[in-house]
Amino acid sequence: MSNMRRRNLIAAIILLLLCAGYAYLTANLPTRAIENTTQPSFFPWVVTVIMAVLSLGLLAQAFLPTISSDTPKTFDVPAKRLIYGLVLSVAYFVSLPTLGFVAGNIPFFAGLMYLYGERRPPWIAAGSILISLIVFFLFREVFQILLPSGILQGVLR
Amino acid sequence: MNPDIIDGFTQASQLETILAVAAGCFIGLVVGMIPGLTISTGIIIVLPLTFVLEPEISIALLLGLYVSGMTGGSFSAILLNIPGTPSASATAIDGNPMAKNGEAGRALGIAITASFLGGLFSFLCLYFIAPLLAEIALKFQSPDLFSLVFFGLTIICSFAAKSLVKGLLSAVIGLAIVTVGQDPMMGTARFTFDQVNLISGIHFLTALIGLFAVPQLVDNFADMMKSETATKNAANIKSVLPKLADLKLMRLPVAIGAPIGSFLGILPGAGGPIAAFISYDYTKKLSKNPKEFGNGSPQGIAAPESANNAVTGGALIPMMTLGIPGDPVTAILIGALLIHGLAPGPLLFVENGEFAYGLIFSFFWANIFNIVIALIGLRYLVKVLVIPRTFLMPTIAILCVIGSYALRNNFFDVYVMFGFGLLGLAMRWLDMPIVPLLLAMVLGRQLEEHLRVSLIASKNDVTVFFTHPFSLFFLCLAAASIFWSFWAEHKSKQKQDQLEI
Amino acid sequence: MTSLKYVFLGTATAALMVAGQAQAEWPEKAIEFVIPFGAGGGADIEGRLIAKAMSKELGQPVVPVNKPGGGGAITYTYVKNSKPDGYTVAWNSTSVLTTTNIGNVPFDYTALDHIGQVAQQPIPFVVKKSARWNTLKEFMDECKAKPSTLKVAFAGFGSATHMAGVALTQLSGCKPIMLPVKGPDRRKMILSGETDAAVDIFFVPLKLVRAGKMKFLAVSSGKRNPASPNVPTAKELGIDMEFDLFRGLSVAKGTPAAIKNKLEAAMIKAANSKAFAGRMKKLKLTLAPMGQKEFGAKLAKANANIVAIMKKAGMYQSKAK
Repeated sequence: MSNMRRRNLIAAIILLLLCAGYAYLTANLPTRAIENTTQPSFFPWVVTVIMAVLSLGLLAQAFLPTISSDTPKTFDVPAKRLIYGLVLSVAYFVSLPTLGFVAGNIPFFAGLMYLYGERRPPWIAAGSILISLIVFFLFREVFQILLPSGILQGVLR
Repeated sequence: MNPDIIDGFTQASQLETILAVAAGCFIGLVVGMIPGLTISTGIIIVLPLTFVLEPEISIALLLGLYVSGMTGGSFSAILLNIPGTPSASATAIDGNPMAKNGEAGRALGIAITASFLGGLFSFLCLYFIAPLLAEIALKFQSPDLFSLVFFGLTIICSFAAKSLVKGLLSAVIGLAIVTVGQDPMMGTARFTFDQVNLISGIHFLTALIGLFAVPQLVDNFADMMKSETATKNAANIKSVLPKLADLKLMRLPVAIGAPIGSFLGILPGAGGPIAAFISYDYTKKLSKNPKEFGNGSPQGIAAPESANNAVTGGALIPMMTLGIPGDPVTAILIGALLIHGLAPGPLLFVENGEFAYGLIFSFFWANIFNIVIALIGLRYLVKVLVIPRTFLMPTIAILCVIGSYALRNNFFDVYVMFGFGLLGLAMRWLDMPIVPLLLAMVLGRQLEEHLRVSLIASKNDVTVFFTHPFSLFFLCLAAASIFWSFWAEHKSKQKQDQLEI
Repeated sequence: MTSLKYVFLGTATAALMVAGQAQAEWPEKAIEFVIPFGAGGGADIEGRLIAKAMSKELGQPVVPVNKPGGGGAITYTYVKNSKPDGYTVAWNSTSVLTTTNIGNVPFDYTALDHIGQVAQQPIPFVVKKSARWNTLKEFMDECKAKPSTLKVAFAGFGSATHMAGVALTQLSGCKPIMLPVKGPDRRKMILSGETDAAVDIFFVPLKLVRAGKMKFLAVSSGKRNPASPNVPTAKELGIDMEFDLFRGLSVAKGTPAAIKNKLEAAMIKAANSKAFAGRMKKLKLTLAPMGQKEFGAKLAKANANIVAIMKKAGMYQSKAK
């Protein structure tokens, strides 16, 4: 079984499961007692049916010999770097509401610079701090878009 | 003469609007030029601005970016043999050999001029076709509109994917996502899991940022581009102004590329890359010296470049008159219009005619500024090719976060954006296109509303979709597009099998 | 390098702290101006205008945010649950009475504090210019003779246009097919002949009426509107109803009186500002600014009226099952 076929199989199974969950939720949608209308669940049912049919089509692609067995494009990304990137992002997103956009962006930016291959500490420090501050003030002063400053609220206001 | 045309021209020619166009062109050239940044990325960067600027100004900015992004893509294609945007892939075939022969300046001049001519042609298409189409579209009733949107989605799917099933699945996932939030007609909550943040649904701009930017940021982990070739070829640029002989050579490719580009632009989902390759092929067939193609033929640059810029004006036609976007950029334009209370659609010309024509003339100015800025500033612009990625990519990352936050001033949207980023990675893993999902999110509500209104009005008679002539016409087109793409997939499969044997 | 960085940080923060202290009083940050309707409708355009003018008065940005859905239910719930500090303001409309009484939300209009009204407009009954009905009576008569054939479009179940539509048709004893359709599409449907009539906001179709493409058969308000003096009110036609679309401001309950008074003053000033009043005149909206007291009385009266209409039509608290 080729690489793409295995992926199709996995995706088809996931999609069928999601489809079943969606159908379950659809079946439990509230209705309204108004004459001569379609109910809120009408369109979701249409979507459910089409999605089920197409997922089965994808399942078929995983098994039928005639249909696509291309080798897929892959990311040539070192898995390690990708995982570090994800961990960094999750940590960033979780702490963002508390830290605010300046205090949160600086370490995130520095971490990303490192992941993109920058190894000189002064450059990382200068880049992360300056760009984070410039972006923050650009948005607040020039574009009038308020970004929460979190723990730095006292300092940055 | 329609007074709206004059008002629109005045509106588009205000100093602020013109400055916005010029700024957009500048940003467009830069993001277009840098490999790894597409026009969509550029648009994501300026997206928060569109929430605060006046509608005509933000639209002008976006249009400048759209037009120049198409042109900017050719610079890196010529200088580095790396297309800055997918639409410039065909340009690299002949552009880079010319640069290697020491004719980088000549190649760039041809690319810029061809872009201008293609854009100008599509401006004329937009100017003349859009009002007519709006007039016709006013006659469309709900069943017609349902079938039209349905056709739009199927054709997007059939262009987008190698595998039709995956294209359609992508769109259906988009439709499912759109049903989250309040029922547009009844007001009851659907799939919100009692989350207040989900009541108004998931905004497609949030999804767009995640879907496009995150995979791109991950891609850039891999290819750390070397910038040495750029500086070497850039040093060779002497004069970019095209010579008269080159202009004569360009007649044929532009005459082929501009109409093909404009036409494919009108079709949702076809877009720049396809238009560029088709017109490259046709020009090669019709050219007097097809052997030059691939070794640095000026015509081989002019054809795809005129075509991909002609796509821009074409794509604006269904966006303005029908509210149907053909690519991420026009989808964002719709979003920007809606943020400012202007719903694109046939009534735009009736109720906001001044604005509609203002948009058209801003597009005209975008093409003018595109050629002017590109020709004058090219030598300085190519310097951005040496900006280190280690600065660029993190900057884009935080701009994505800010953009998704600023849309509704809500941290929840930031998480949604990241979730869509992961979805984008998963879809890449599966080789599933993301454009259908995005456009389904833009069109999903309309699709549902038109479907339900049609059924209410006809007292649940499904045959209305076949008895209305327009509706029947669009449904036939939808069936044809599905059938065509199924057939094309089958054909290419056969070819592949033969090769494998 | 590092020292340079600290210098930059230091100067930047110092400069900002000075700027911050100058405006320690309310409002000291941007005010969120929540609009209960999707972008593009009449309420949205007016809301953005008043937000802009208020921003000038208050010296802080007043940022319009659309939170459409449920005939305003989302906006009112959002503002009701916001901190009562005046930084979250709802651009209210008649929907604050309709969506509550129909039962979309588990509270009534008194769950919010109301600042005042800015403008009002009637709800017209619109048909295509070439339509065969020249008076509301002709339309209703045909509708009564052939129930469930004529189509009337409105904004969505539970919206103000729905209320007015229900009141007009049910009090006339007619039963049309009701089509829930959003703003621009509704007018397009009249032009394309897909719907026979629409209940709409006043000033947007007015442009099309003046262009000779549509006509008003009646307006819902108590008095005739100066922008269309020939159109009779529903009351004149013997339909016992009075319905206004008003626009004003609401905040969370318990907002300090000082802040409410500030908002009220800013709102009335903004409403009377040359720019806003000029736009109102151009749009043919009736500028009728009123403060907390007067508006409170109006709301109480209008609420009783709407409850009566809904009860008659059997829609009062007809919540989702």
